Amino acid sequence: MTRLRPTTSSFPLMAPLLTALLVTATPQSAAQAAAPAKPSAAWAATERAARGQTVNFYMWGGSDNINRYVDTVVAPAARKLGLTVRRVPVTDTAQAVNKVLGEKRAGKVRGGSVDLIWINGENFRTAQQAGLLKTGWAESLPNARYVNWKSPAIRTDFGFPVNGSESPWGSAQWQYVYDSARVKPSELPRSFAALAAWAQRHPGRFTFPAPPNFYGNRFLRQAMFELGGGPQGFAGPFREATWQRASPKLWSYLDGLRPNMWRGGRTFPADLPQLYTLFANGEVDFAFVQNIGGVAADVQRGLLPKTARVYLFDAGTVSDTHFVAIPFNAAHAAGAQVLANLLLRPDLQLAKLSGDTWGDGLGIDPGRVGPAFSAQVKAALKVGPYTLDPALLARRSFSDVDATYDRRVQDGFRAWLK
Amino acid sequence: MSGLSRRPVPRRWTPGSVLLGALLLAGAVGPLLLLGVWSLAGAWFYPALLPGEWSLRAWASALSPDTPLWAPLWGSMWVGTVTAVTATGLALPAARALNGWPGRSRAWVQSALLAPLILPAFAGVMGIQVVFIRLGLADTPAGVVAAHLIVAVPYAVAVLSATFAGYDARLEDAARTLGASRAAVWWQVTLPAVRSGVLVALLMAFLVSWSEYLLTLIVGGAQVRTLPLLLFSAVQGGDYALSGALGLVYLLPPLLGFALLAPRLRSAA
Repeated sequence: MTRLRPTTSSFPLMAPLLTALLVTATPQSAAQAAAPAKPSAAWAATERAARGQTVNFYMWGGSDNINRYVDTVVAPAARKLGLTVRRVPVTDTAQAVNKVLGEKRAGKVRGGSVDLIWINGENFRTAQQAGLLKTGWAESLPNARYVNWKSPAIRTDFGFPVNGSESPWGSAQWQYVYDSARVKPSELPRSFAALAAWAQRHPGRFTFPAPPNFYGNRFLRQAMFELGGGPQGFAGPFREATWQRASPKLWSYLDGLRPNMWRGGRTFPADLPQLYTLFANGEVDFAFVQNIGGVAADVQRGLLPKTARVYLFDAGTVSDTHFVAIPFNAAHAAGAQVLANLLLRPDLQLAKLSGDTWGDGLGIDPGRVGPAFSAQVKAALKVGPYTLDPALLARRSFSDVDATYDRRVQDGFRAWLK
Repeated sequence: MSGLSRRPVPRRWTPGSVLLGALLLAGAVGPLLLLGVWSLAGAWFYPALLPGEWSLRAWASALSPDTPLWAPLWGSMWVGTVTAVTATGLALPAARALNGWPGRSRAWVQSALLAPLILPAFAGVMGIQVVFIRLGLADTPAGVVAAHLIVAVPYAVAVLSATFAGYDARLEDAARTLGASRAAVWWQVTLPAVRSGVLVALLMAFLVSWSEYLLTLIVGGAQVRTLPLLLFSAVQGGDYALSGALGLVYLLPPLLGFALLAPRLRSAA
């Protein structure tokens, strides 16, 4: 089962952010921002229908920061719209998808128990292919005007067309975490080749969560990109020939890395929290993070030591978007749409960005909101020891590829382990 | 557990018994203390013996008015209580009946009763969900109790079968000969004889329900929120401080229940 924690962020997303930060808004985006949104009659009807509803929002519940954000920022804002948010924490997003799947199998086409799911990647693909999601609603939300729908990171989710079946919530980018008390910045490996060499000099000090864990998959996929000549070669739909050419290099890379891994590569942490525990207690020297705010929130929470730092590989890292989706049979679909719209509201997006709360990247394009907002974004991020400059992130990022590669990496890893 | 043979146990304090008692106490209290320390830890990394920083963050989060803890606490309490009473009520006649059965067929029936425990959890849960939706039980409080009964009843039956194994059914015949009605026999002979077994079965069934996660989530959805829904996601997220705080809240009611029950068990033994 894939870990359902939506992950996220993106280069196409970050590129406008960069523009906004450095150039301030373009005249076009300023004009867009100046035009006040005029809610359509249809939306007014949706808002009326939503009034008084309780939205059952199923989301991965493993982060206190994220839960707090939903409980203390989103829920009060929703209450002002006459909406109650009932956050249902799951340990794996697949549980929510399976629940809807079960309802569909049992013929429950109305009054479903799940109203909104925090989702992306393979879970989205599974849900979409099984016909579990309401389609064609996301682009007509009033706040969807802040979203850059032309960006490939929003038009597709792991190479799978979004088609208005999910509305972006935030963005993320893969970053590496190290402890400055243990590793000097000059010694940091900045490529997969350098990582293998580093591990040879420091045996037992590196590991990654085993696939099918999301972070393990993504780590291996990025290794495959480097070994296969860069991510550009993997863009577009899955190609068997590309896989056949690149995958043997990945497995032989792992063969070389394995004996120098934590516990000789005989065992792996199951997920990111376990990797954090190993890292924080000095058993390994590297971890990963996907928040645009880096490790600021985790250091503040005491999960990581104050000496933790983030950095990137030279060739860049994967960025993507995470979304919310509404099941086809949601009992409170109107409320779910109003909530999805609320999640895109610039002030709520900004509150989420701060490392004091969550550190999650924007789901909207600041250039479409206005120049004042772009300045606020910069202030909220607090670039520093725990947070990289968003301009740097944007320069060193690429989109993820077709989800079929993901599945092949998972299956291949299982075979390789034996 | 039989109420028939009662022999006074000599109570003597030897160095060995004191040591054993101390070890048992440390084994029981130690983990609780550790949870308490974790719940107050701001940052705590190896090799520090105690947290480098203390913080009330976890408790502030656990007890925050934005996510009232009493709702899942109450959910767990009533679901657990109703499940325990129902499961024990169902298991009592089953265990009593099994007591009189010949060996071979008893083993078969007992295996059938325990079968739900052997099934892989996830496979079972998906099937249960579909059946419950068709029955209109999904996403209802009654459905959650019914789902918990599937796993609680086998435990209650197992406990009560062991109790009835040491039960002499001829006592009932004797009472009947003396003119007691069937109901009187049940209430005044059978039940008192197996009282401690019934209490243990209640506690067992309650604990099974108290710790159920997947069934509650899939069958109950958001309608019935219980403590494991909160606790499991905190633990899985690697937030040790919050897990410590929620863990203590989670442990307290069963501990209280056990404290209330324990003296009754001893007097009945």
